[in-house]
Order: sequence, then structure tokens, then C-alpha cells
Amino acid sequence: MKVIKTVNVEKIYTSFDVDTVALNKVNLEIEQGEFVSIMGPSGCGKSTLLNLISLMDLPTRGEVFFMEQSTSKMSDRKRAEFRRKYIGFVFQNFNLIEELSVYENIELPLVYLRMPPSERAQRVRAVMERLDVAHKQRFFPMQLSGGHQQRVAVARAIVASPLVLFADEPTGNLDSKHGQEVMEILSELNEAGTTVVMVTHSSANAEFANRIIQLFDGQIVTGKVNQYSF
Amino acid sequence: MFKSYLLITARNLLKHKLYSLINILGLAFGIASSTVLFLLIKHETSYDHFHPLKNRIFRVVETIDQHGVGEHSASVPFPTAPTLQKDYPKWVEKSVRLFNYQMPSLSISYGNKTYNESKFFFADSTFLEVFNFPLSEGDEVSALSQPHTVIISQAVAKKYFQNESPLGKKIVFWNKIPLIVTGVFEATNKPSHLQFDFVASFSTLRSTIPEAIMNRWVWNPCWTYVVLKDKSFASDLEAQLPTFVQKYFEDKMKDNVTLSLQALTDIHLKSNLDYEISPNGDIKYIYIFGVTAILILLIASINFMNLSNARAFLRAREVVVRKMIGADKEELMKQFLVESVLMSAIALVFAFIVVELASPYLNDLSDSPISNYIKNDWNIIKYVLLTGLLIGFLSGIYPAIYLASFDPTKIYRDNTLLGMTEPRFRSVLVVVQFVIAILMLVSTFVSNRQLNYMKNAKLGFDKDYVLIVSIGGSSSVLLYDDIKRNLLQHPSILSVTSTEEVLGNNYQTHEYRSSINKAAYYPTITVAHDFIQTFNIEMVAGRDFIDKAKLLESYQDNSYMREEDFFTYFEDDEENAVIINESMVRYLGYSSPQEAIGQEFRSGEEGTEKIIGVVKDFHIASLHTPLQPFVIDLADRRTQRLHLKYVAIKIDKNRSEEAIATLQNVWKKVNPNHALDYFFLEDKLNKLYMKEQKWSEISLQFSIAAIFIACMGFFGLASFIVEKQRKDVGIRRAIGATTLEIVFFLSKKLMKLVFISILIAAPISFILMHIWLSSFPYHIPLTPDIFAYSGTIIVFITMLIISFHTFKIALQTPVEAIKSL
Repeated sequence: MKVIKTVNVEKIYTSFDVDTVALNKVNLEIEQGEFVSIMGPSGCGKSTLLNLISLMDLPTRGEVFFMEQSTSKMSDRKRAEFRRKYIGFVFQNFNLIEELSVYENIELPLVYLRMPPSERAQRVRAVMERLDVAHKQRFFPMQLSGGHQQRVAVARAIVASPLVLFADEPTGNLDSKHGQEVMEILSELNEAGTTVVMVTHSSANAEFANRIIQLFDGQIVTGKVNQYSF
Repeated sequence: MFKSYLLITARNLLKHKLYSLINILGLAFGIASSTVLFLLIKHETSYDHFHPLKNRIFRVVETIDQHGVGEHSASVPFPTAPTLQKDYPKWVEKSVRLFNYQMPSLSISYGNKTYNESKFFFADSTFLEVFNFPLSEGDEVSALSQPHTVIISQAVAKKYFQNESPLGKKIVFWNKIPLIVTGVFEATNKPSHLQFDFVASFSTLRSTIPEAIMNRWVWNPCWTYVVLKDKSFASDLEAQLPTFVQKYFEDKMKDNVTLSLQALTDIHLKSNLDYEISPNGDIKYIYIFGVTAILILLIASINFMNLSNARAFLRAREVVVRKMIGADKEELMKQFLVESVLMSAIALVFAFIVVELASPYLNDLSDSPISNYIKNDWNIIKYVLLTGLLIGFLSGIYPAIYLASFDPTKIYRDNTLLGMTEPRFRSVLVVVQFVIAILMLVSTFVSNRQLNYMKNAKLGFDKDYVLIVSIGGSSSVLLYDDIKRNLLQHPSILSVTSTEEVLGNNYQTHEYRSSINKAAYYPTITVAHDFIQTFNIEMVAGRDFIDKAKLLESYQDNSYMREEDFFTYFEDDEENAVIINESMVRYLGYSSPQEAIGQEFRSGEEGTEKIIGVVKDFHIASLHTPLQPFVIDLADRRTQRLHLKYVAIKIDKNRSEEAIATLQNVWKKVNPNHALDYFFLEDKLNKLYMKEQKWSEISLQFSIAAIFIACMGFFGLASFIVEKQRKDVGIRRAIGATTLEIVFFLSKKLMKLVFISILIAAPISFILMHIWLSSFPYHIPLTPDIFAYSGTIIVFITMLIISFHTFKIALQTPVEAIKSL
């Protein structure tokens, strides 16, 4: 199944009457189970593309299909539902909620899924064990190192068993050792069947992927994609 | 989910303790302050609402008006009640009169003890049918049906009889009239304009007042209440009252008399007539209290909303993350709403505590145990709860909607908030808060100044170091000459006179006929000799009254001989002389005071008085009423007992303690069987301004509350704004800005808001204060310094607050500042 498909997607930002084209007629397809790395120089539109395909934002023109469903006319509620059920997100700066403990941060997506407490507890425990953060479950984010925070962030991203995991510079704030650990976790997840789409500057990280998409000035320049407008 | 919301709220509160405290306490004080004011309003508006017949009870009142001079009396002639009932049986179901001889107190004896009782009334037997004052002892049906019976209050029962049952006991009125106690009122704290300790049967008066007087339509000493068969009949009855007046009132006055009906429940707040049973409130202050309560609540709510919103925006990143994880708009809105409502619930708990702690003060302010309302009135509690929860809900709505709809892609990348600008409306809210606080501050200054002005205004007579002794209503009045003679033997006593009413507090109206006007009723002060001297009143023409007895004495030893005495000493000023004031000169149409001297000014048909003197205008009533024409008449020996109720004693200001001791000794010597009641005239006259005093106190207290709340909010907001500018500060420090330049940079925006508030508040407060002051005939001018002081106080406080925040950041070293980026 094509999990993600974009057709002539454009994203234009307007500020003080100046139009900035962040993405210019991008066509992209990602199959289920792929590990795709999106690379490119700063300002090329990587994060913009990530926002569109993760249903965080809407394109100015073009279509985004998720699980072969058109998302352009989807209501905000429907998009939130999709994010809840099918998407996990890992950020560069972790974005853990400071008022929640490790356990509660990981549990949060399941709370939004209205999962019964006992099932939630089971899943959270399993994920904490897998990411080796169970011993820190009562800690709060500011009490953790960067590496641990990112592990918790990954745990939160996968606890609901998402179809697709989006990672935006997941190792950007980590040292090489912890960064390596995170990449290995993403790789394991992918091997287990999760589709992973990662934005990265790092060629080393990009090598974990089985497809690399190069963006430049809002357009895909290389990669195993169909380029209709290249 | 709800548990999760509770958890987040609790943790957020603990994480940001200072702001949580400011937010919660600010709202708590606001709710508490407005609750206190609403309790005061409830108390003031509930007077006489406990009578089952309240909607059908009306007081009959009388206005005597001759071209702006006369009286507006809360009491009417004796026959009014029974005659209304006889003439209009289809409208008037029943009536009741209250009467107390218009005396400040009446002497009551039991055994060998005599007391001066000020809350003594005679009332028709229908008193307990009309009004709801249950008895704890005695039979309500028969308690007042017979002559020489009296019902007493619990306090009097304890005072006179201690633990014995008072029923059947005999007390003596005026040393000769027996009254049997037939009932004891239940203790009550329900507010009523009727304040009494004794209610004696009206039929007792048949043995003390001649029937001729009780059938006359001139003297108006009876507070008269009618119960209509339906309240709608009030307009019908009132339409008939002009005819009624024409039919029964005497020819000489009926064209100047108007009777009207006053709803019972309107008396306390809307009456303020002459001769009220007890001091009234003023509906004007109820409106002011109400507006003040709303304004304080508004400030507190704005505060709460502003600070909640500010904190909420700092959590925008958390909101974005939640959205990404899958929270939809409704869930996020619910979260913020629950948090906001929970915080307001905590504030409510504090509010109740504050109100409870303020209860003793509340009771003092209202002279009544109104703190009971808080505990016993479920409506009050409901109002407070609903208000608090509503504020919590409304405060949470804005961030809930805004953040829930927020486009998360704008900011999620960065560690700091990107492009989050201060919503402009938050600044607007701060300005609104400070405008309200400044309004209240200005009103405090103005009300305080007006109060001091009225208390200290020159009244045209000496009110300082004048002792007033009550002698009316007892045989003490017959001992006046002895009392005076004995007092004057002591050097601490400078002068002694007697008056019908307390000068400056009240006056009566009597009938006079002048050479140019037919009979009319004029404000009159009936006095004894040495009135002008005792009160140091300025004469502008003519002479003072001459004491013929003293004059004749002086002739005995030839120590006093004046030319005019040969002409005047054969005349008797008690019978033939009156003194008028300058306003009366103008009212009568004379071109000068001199022209009025010697002119006819007869009391009644048979009077022989002439005008012998003109005094400079002075205030015979409170400064709530303008100067008016009046007459000073000398009481003659015959009517002295009826007219003279007070002794006024001018004492040496350097020997006031000695003077009081002298008074006590003289009283014990001359009048041992009667209790001595005395007070300083100044204290009595200050009580005329109780309403303004109360308002001034309330204004001060609640201005402080309003400023406190507004500043708490400003403190929190200033912190937020300054914190947001930390990055700017870091950059400026790094490129070389000094501490003062940083402070100025940080303060600019906030001080701008304060100055805008002052500019807006100044004209609004000027207009409002002008309107309030215009309701007083005599008032202070609105000078710029009032607004300058108010503005200065606000600027000073806000600068302190801003300094606290700005210096903290401005004093960081450049390294520290850069690190915080």
C-alpha cells in the first residue's frame, strides 16, 4: 500500500506581500514498510514537506494522500484522528511535556485514543522496557539526559503502534553515541514493519534509510520517486 | 482524562507558585470584596421586607410648602389615620400610628431607678396586626388593646427586670403615668426603620393629651401607616388626598399642605424626610456600592483572565505537541477550561475565608450582624459559587479557543516561542483595570475631602466645646433655670441656653403671620435666653433677646443701665420678639435687614411678636440642605415644657473635663432622680454625615482592594512581558547597553499602559465625581491635585513593580544574558 502519496504539492508562504515558495510541485510516494530519509540544505523545504505528509499542515495546491485517502478535504478533527491512530512523531528537541512524568508522557497518545487504563498500562510498560526507560518512569523530563529524553520521545511516538513514524532531525540535539542508539531503534522499528520517514542533515543517519530523497529549493532532485515536473 | 487535567493543573500551580498565588489571591480578593459589597446592599435593601403585609403598607407623609419654605415631614396630624380609614373604607383596611411627643427621650421609672429612653413609642392596638414583630411573652391580640399597657424589648426586660418575667410589672412614664407590661418582643435582627424598645398603647394618651389637640389638624407628630386592601389602591387613595386635605386641614394652611403615600419598603432608602424615626440610608449609595462591586469583580476577572492567558501562551509548545500526538480541538479546549475552572474553585475557597475573616468589620460597617447572611443565605453562597466558576470558565475560553485552533507548524521547531506576540487585547484589559482602580482612588480622595468639608465647614455658629443635655420628655425641663444658675457659678461653664432641637441637626416649623404674608409655617428654632451668645451667632441688625428677669435684677443694684432699656424693659421678649435670618429678610421681601426690624411677625392669630433682630445666615440643618429662611423664637414660661428639649452648655475648651464634672455634680444636686444624658454637639452633628462617612470608609477599603488586585495582575503581567523580552535583553547587553538603558527599554511598554490609563480615567472620574458632588448643596471644588495624587500613587506603585522585574534582568552580566538565549 502506498502509505503516503503527494501529487503536485505546493506550499507557498505569504508574508508582507512577499510569496515564498517552500515546495514546488512535489510528487512523492512512500510504500508501507519503507525507511525514507529526506535530506537537503537548510531552507530547502524538508520540514515543510514533513508537515504536509504528517497531516500537520495543508498544501497551498496539490493533493496529499494518506493510506490512499485524500486528506485535502479532511476536517481538522479527522486529521487529528489520523494522527492519533496512524502517526508517531519524533522531534529534534524532544518536545516532552514538562509537567508530565516519563510514564505519563508515553501514555499520553493512548489517553487520546481512549484506551482503557489497564490496556494503556500494559502497552506503556512494554514500550518502556523496549526503549530501556522503565527505571526512569517517575522522572520528569528536566531530570533526564538528552539521550533519555529522546528515548522517551521515541517511546511516546510508538506506543500506539503507528503506521508511520515521522522523525525530524531525531539526533540533532544528541551526542554521537546517543544519536547512534536512536537510529538503531528507528531501524529496528522499521524492520518490525513501521514505516519511517526521517528528515536529517546527517549523511550517516541517512544511510539507515533504504531510500534517500534529496530536496533542493522546494523540489525533489534525487530519489526513487516519480518526478512529473522535474 | 479528567484526572489527567487535575494532575496537570496541580503541577502547573506548583511549578509556577508565585503566579499561581497572585492569580488565585487576586481573584479571591475580588470575589470576596464584591461579595462583601453585595452583602451590604442586601442588608440595606432588605429593610422592612419581613412584614407579610409589606406590599400593602404605606406611610402617610406631609409636605408644607410656601414657595420653597416649610417642611417635608415623615409624620402627620393625629386624626389622619382614623379619618382615612373612615372616609375610604373600600381602600384602607387598617392603620396604625406611632407617637413619642417628638421628644429625644422619655423618662421611664421602675422602682427607684429612672432612665431616659429614646426608643419609646405609643402605638395603636393594630401595631402587631400591621407589623410582624412577634412576642416571646404575652398575647399579641390583647397586648395593646387597653390603656396603660406596654410591650417591651428583650434588652429592656433584662435591663429593668433581670431574670424575672416582666409580664404584669408596672413601670412609670413621666413619673406619673403607670404602664403595665403586657408583652415582650422576640429578639430579632431583621432590619427595620422601626427601632423601638417600648411600644405603649395609644389609648394611654387620652389621659395625657387633651382631646382638642388630638383632633387638631396642625401639629403633625404621628408616624402614620395605612394597610390598603390591595397595593393597586395606593394611586386611587393618593388621588383623593388633595380633597382630604381641603376638607380637614385648617384654612390657614391647607393650600400649602400636601399629603402623599410612601411604600413601607421605600422608607429606609428613599425617604430622608424631616422627623424620621431612625436614620435612613440612601439609594444613591446602593447604586454606588453595586457599581463598585461590579468594577472590583471586573478588575479581578480581568486579572485572572490576563494572567491565565499569559501562562497559557507559554504552554503553546505543549499544546502543539499534544496536537501532534493526536489531541483534537475539543480535548484541548476542555483541558484549558478545566484548569481555569479548577483555579477559580481554589480562589473561591480563599474568597470564603476572606469574607469570613472580614465578618466582624462587616458587622461594624453596617451596624448589624449581616455576616449571618453568608452562613444562612443559600442564595448568597450560590451567587458566589456561580460567579467564581463563571469567571473561571470565561478565563479559560479564550486561550482554549485560541490555542486549540493554533497552527502548530509555526513554532514547534524551536526551543523558544517563535513569533508569539502579546495579544493586544491583553494590554487593553490592563488599561481597563487601571482605569477602574484610578476611578476608585479618585472617588476615595473626593469622598474623604467632601466628608471632611462637611464635618469641618463653618456652620455660622460655634459647635465646638458645646455640651448638649437632653431634658425633654421629663420633669427635668422644669428645673432648667436651676440647672442653668448652678452651672454658671463655675468658671469652666461659659454660657448656658436651651433649644427645642439640637442646633444644626433639626428644626421644627411653626405658624407665623408677617405684615406682608398671611399665615405660613416657617422653620423655627425655639430657644431660651442666651442662645445667640452661647452659639456665638453674628447679629447683622437689631438686638438679641433681653432677659427681663435678669434686667430687673440688675436694676435692683443699678449695675446695668442703657437708654433702650427704658423703652424695652417694659416689653416681654418672650411674648413680643422674634429674630430672623438674612434669608428670611429676603424671603419676606425686605430690601435690608434694617428694614425688617420692628416689623410684625406674629406667632399664630393671637401673637404679638415683632422682629427685633436679624442674624447672619447659619445652618440649622445638615449641609445636605441649603440655607433657608428661619425664625428664632423665645420660649415663654407657659410653653417652655413643650418646646425646650435640650440644654446647650458652652464650656471652656481648656477645662473640658472640669466642665463635665461640673455638669455631673450640678445634675446630681438639682435633678437626682433623672439620668444624665449628654453629648458634644460636634459629635452629634458629625453623625449627620454617617452615610458619607460610611461611603468614605467603604471607598477607601475597596479602593485599596481594587488597587491591590490590579497591581497583583500588573505584577504577574509585567513579569511575563519582561520574561518574554529576555532574548532582547541578552542581545542588548551583549552589544553594550547599560543597566538603565535596559530598564528603560523594559519599562517603556508597561509605563505607556499606565499613562494611557491615567489619561482615560481622568476625564471619566471628573465627570462622575462632578455628578456626585452636585447632589450636595455645599461641596468641595474638584481641583487638579486630586487627580494628580491619584495618578502619582498609581505611577509610583507600578514603577515599583516594574523595577522589581526589570532590574533583576537588567543586572545580568552579558555572559549570563547570552546564556539565557
